[in-house]
Amino acid sequence: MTRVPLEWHRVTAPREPVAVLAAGDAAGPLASSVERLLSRGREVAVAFGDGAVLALSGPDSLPWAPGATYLGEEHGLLLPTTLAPSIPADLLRGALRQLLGVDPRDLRRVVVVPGRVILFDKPTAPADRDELAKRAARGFA
Amino acid sequence: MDADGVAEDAGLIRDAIAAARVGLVDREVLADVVVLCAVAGEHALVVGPPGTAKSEAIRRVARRMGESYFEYLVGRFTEPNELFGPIDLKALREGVVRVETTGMLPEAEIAFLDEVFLGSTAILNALLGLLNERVYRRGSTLVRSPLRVCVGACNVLPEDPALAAFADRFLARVFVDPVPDDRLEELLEVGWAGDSHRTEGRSGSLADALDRLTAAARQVDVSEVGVLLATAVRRLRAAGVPLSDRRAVRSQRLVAAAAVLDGRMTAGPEDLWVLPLVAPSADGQQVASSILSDLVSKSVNQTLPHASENFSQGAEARAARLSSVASALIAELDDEVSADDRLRVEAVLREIDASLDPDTVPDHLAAARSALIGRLAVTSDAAPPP
Repeated sequence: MTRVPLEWHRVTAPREPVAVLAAGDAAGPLASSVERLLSRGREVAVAFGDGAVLALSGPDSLPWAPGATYLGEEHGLLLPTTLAPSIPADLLRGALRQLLGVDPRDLRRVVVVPGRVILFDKPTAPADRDELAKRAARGFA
Repeated sequence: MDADGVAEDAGLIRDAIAAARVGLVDREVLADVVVLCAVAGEHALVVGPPGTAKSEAIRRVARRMGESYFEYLVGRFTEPNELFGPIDLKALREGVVRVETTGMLPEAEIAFLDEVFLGSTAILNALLGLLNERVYRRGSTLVRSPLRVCVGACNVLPEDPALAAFADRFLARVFVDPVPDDRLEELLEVGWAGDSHRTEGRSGSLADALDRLTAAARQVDVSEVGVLLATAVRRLRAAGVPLSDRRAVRSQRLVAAAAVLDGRMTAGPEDLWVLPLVAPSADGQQVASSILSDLVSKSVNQTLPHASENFSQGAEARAARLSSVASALIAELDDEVSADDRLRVEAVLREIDASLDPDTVPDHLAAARSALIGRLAVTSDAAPPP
């Protein structure tokens, strides 16, 4: 098998953000920001995976937290808004779906960021606030 | 005029327009373009649905510049005297046709004509003279108009070829949409506050500074960007964006105006962000921004940060605009940040973090970002734990 390292470079124009990812210390504050938006009637979907939280919404309604990573969509993958992988996104998607065993009709979201690939549960829209609270209490583990 | 004088006058205009933008929600680009056109001696057309605060931006700029302002909603049955002034009846009895233009369009320095294309032939013909030559003629009346910029507005661009020819006199085009979702709370707050949200009334006139900048713009050295401009026009025409020779030539005036408003007497690639403005349609502007992205990537303008970022989509202009927005927001915030203001702060932080790689954030923006984060630590709402 040939290993192909995945490298990243900055994009000229940032992708439109459709989601935001937070892990570790950033996850709790992001969940709080989601809660604030939900309490204001904003529509935010949330998914969980591998100790991280993913929030999805329109570009003008995404939550903010320090340390969170904004993601745009390209060929079904969620990639950082300001970075592009060295492998074209459509090829990467095909390879990852095989690797992760994800069917093309699967509604789970695949996030690729430098150093990590995360398969998230199917997003819940609108976000379940009780579930968000329970996960936050467990540290999103 | 020397560069120091230009930089000083540009600074005066920068402060005035920054004040004019306070309370504008999603119309900052329009305010920037009005000032650009005022210095360039060109006119602007705003296209957008009714009720989108088009006139408010122009009114604020006029007030802050201390300029005489005329505004009118033109209709199919609007008489010329409603815009240009009534006939002097006393003179008419003596057989002389004279128009009393005091306080009317021929004496305005900044004008806004809503639904401009609904005007009658008589109105449009008289307007042509005013827009092209800054002269109003009727009978024995000849008024040399001080008009710096006329902003016309319409819901959609006219399809009638005769009206399209008149529309071509408005070099810059700004297409507006209703306010986006993330600024709705801000819009509602500003709308409720109404006039009380405005700062003090008419400012001291900046007419002298504007006159000097306009004169300076005529002297700007555009030789460095000549080749780039020609390249841009070729690309636009090849991409199907119709650009008349008149628009191509006069775009140089916008480039020169951008340079002086940034405090320079030499135009450079950083001023080419104005080019999409002269594309006649909204689709054309999108195509222009896309195919000219490499030419306008270095765009930046300290006085017009919103417009330069909007039309260049360049990282430097984006950072400059975000820095300006962040600084203005910090100045507006109370000691204890309200729940509504928290959303506004988070919206700005989101835009910074989503559009700029952390390694490329310039120092001025990084400082503004840190300051905003610091203000979030003092909020009046106790965010409920998730």
